[in-house]
Amino acid sequence: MKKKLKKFMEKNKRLLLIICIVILAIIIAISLILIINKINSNGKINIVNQNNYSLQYDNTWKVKLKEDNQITLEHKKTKSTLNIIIHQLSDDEKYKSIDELFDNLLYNIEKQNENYNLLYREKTNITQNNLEGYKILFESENAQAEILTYKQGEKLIVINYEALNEYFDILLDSANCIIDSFSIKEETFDLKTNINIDTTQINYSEQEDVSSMLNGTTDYEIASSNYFVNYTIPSNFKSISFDTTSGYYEFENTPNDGTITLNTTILNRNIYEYLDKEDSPNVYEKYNLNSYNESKEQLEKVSDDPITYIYKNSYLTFDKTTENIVIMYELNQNHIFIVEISSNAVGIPKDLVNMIKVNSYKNIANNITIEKEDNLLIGNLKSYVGYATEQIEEIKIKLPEDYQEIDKETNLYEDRTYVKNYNDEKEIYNYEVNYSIIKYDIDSKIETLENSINKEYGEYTDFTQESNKTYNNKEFIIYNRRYTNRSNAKDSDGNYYTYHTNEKVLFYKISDEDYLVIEIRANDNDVTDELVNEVTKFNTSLFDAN
Amino acid sequence: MKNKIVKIISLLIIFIIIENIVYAATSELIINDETFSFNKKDEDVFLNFDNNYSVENDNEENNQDFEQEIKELTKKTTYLLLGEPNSQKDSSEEYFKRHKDYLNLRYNPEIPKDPNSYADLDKNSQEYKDDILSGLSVPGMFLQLEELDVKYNSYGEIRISVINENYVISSITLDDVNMKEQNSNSPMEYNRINTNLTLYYFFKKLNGEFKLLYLYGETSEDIIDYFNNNNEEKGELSENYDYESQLRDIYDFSKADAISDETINNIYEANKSKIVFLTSMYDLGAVSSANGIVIRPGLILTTYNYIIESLMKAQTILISDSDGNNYNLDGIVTLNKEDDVAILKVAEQNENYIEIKDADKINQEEAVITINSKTGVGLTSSKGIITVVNKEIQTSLPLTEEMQGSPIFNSDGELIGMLNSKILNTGISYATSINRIKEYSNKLANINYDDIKATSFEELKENYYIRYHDEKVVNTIPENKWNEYNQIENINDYITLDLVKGSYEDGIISLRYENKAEKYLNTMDIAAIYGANLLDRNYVKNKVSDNKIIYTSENYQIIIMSEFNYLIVIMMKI
Repeated sequence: MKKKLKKFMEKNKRLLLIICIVILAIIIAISLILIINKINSNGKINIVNQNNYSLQYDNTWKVKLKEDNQITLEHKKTKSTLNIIIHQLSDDEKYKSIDELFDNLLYNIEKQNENYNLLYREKTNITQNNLEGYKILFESENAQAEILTYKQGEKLIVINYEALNEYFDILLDSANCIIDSFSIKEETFDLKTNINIDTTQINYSEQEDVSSMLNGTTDYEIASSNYFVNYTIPSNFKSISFDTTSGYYEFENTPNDGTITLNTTILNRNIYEYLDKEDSPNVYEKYNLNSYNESKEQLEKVSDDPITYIYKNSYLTFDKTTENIVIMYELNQNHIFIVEISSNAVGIPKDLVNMIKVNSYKNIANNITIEKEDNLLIGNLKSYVGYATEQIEEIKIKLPEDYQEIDKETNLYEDRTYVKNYNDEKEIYNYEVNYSIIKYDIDSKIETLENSINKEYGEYTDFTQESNKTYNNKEFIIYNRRYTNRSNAKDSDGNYYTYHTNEKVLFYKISDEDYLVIEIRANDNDVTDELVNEVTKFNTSLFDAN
Repeated sequence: MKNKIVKIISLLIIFIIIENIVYAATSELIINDETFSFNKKDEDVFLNFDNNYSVENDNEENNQDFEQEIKELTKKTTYLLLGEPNSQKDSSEEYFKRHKDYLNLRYNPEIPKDPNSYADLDKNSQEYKDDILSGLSVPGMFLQLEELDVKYNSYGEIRISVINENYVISSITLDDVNMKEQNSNSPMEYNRINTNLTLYYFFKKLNGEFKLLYLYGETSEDIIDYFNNNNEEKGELSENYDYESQLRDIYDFSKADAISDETINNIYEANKSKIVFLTSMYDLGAVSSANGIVIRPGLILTTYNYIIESLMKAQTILISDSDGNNYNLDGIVTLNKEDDVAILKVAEQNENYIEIKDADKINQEEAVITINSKTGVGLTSSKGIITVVNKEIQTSLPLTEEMQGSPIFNSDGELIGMLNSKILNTGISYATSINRIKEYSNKLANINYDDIKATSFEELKENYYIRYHDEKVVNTIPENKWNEYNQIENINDYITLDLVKGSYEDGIISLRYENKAEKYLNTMDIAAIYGANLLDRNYVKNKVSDNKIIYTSENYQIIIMSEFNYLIVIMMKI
């Protein structure tokens, strides 16, 4: 046998050599391929995407079982397992908390697996949804199992990672990565989300004479409904009143004897509801177009980010065209910033509209800013004198630092309120001071105040006028109201109101037409001269509007 | 040669088979359908109690379909108000649609919307009242809740009270929501708080469909704030002022308002020695507390929920009353989950007990008074009204955990129920009715105190509640390998915890240390010194997360992780 083989080999030396080389080359090629695969596949991530869940795992694991509500992965080398079960909770169970469910679950697991010992359990947050769940560690003869369970919606998820002792810690990280990638897909209610609004491109009037007057922009700010907006409008618009909550402007020197006014406001409304004719309030109802001749209206969606719509209508009144343009910017889902431009006898050109921009906006709790000077709290009131727009009066309120301004959603240029010394027991401030500018006569103001007393706080005299007095070099007209008796009303705790309020109202003439009104309320205290001195340190100034 | 090859191959095959068999022989943890039955434990626990003392649950054919319908409606209403759980903000269109659908859910009887035309309507008619009620809260609530920007994880527990077939009240408690609250110190800003939010919906049937008549919401923060004014003093009765509830818009509170201080005082004097305070202790710390009622010398009535929680968390229960007497717990006589009742037997037979008998005035809008202890020091009284009467009594008394088990009395001072734990940290509460309590006391009526069987707390706890085991310490690292790795990085010098497990497989060493002082020392901090040593030895640090750091050098990679109270170190050559 040996001789025959030797002879055969001698005869076919060359052929055998070639065959050996080929076999070697094949072996080398296969090895290279395997090595390259190993390098590549070591980092490879596999994705499982089922109807109701998804997860990712690296190539050291493989899927052993995959069903709608369960998936089992097995580690190729060590045969460790990772099993995930999604259990649909019954009607009785689905509204229970994870604590209640876990207690029973743990009991059952222990009963079913008497050869396993419980080592640890802890309550923890499950990463992807920040849901609370439980983690437990069991040990058997030669293996350990970590179980993770949490409740998501109406499903209870139980994840079990088990490995032999020697591999448990080594694979723990890989198992945790898989667990972190696991997520279940929630069912949602089936509600449509489209709404229908017809939009078109707006035809703006050609109004050369107005366009040629446009020469720059000015920034303004308003704040109301917990929003603050900074915006830009053409400088040709002048404020016709000072208001921190809304803007009122008029175009100067409008040609054709016409008028163009511009108002800005912040509305607490969803933009689609505002654009829905069947909803109220909406942008259309104010104009009542049906009652006019030759009325037209158009609506255009100008931008998606932020959502911006422009509505325009026009109609004839006494042969003169009236145009209204409303620009609506969505601030958030239930706040809109509105710029409303109305014109009469002239058209509103596109150039004008293009100069209007929102610079910034923010969601605020209130719009009070704290200003101090020389250890005094400063507040400003500002108004045109009377009803014309020729002179401006400004009042700079100065109060000691222990006062605090409180926000009442009013025009802060016209009305400010300050308080001092909170009484914890009675849950009221000891002192309240309100500053406002009035344009009507004193008698009307007193009448308003008479009618607005909260009778629950007690029985009071009517306001009576005292003789005028001077504080801080200024002369004031003074009215007083005194507490006489406790009222029979009780507060929400069932107690009688036990504090009594004394009130003093001071009028100071700022100009021919206007008064500054200072209302001082002292609860459970008197309004002393000292107090009045403290709150009358303001300055006034008067100047021409330009 | 041939034989040798055959031998080698067959040995190889045998080896492979054996390896697999060995692995199959190591058992796997079983989790199957049986694991998901959630009543087994209760059943096993209940088996310990004498059957003769247990009261049958009604198992009335609850109209399951109807309840399911209301539960789904409650969930849908919550979705319309708050959006989806776990969600990002929906788009404007989705928001608009949600708002529209919510308003369509509003109860809207055939009354014209123009307020002027109300003039002709009978202001005392139910339709008028309902329409006004619906107009008050339903539209505005959407925007109010929107402003609060509530983020919630899942629909929580839903409770339904069926008044009649046309009128249903349901409440849903969303656990741990995150929402806005204005910062009182800095008015320009908002705080975000975590609290429980309970929403109450009142549905009325209109044209065969349930519509939303009224709703209001409340947070557990409000309730906890309300109860924080604690001024209980020994031997005195303090009074809780009325909780400001929106229920006043719907129900008539006049009977409660008419209760005089004298009435309350009389009830207090008559019952102060019959109310006990229970505290569950674990390692000298209190883990929960509740109230209880002495219903017979030596027998105390409290809630099932409190006892189960104590079995889970505590080692003992201490019982005392406001006179300073202490009671020793002999054991638990019976438990009932449905009624939320637990009856305890104590060693001391208190002469003072509340007699369990029929009572009147268990009707809607009747006044109720509760006397309970919040701190175990003194007693506090509160008053309210009955809002719904079904199998249980629902009242306007706000309730927190410590107050479960308190007695409630009618204006004549008769016991009409025990506040239970069906709903906690809210402005309404449920009480187990005296009629049900009577069934329990009847079962025990003819049995002498000495003959009443009770299972001790310790026994129940041992058999059914958690027992931890000590981990087996296993270290299979061959010495030469250990010396090799230890020499390079000196781990022994730097980590001073106990080694519980060590193994060496495929060139990887894994070490598990136990941090027994986890409450005081953070596990990862303990490894920080070792980490610093590695950095000195030119390892590069990569902090992957709070619980995992990888150190790499030219030759080695060291991973440090924490899990439970373990510090796990994995070392490998690269």
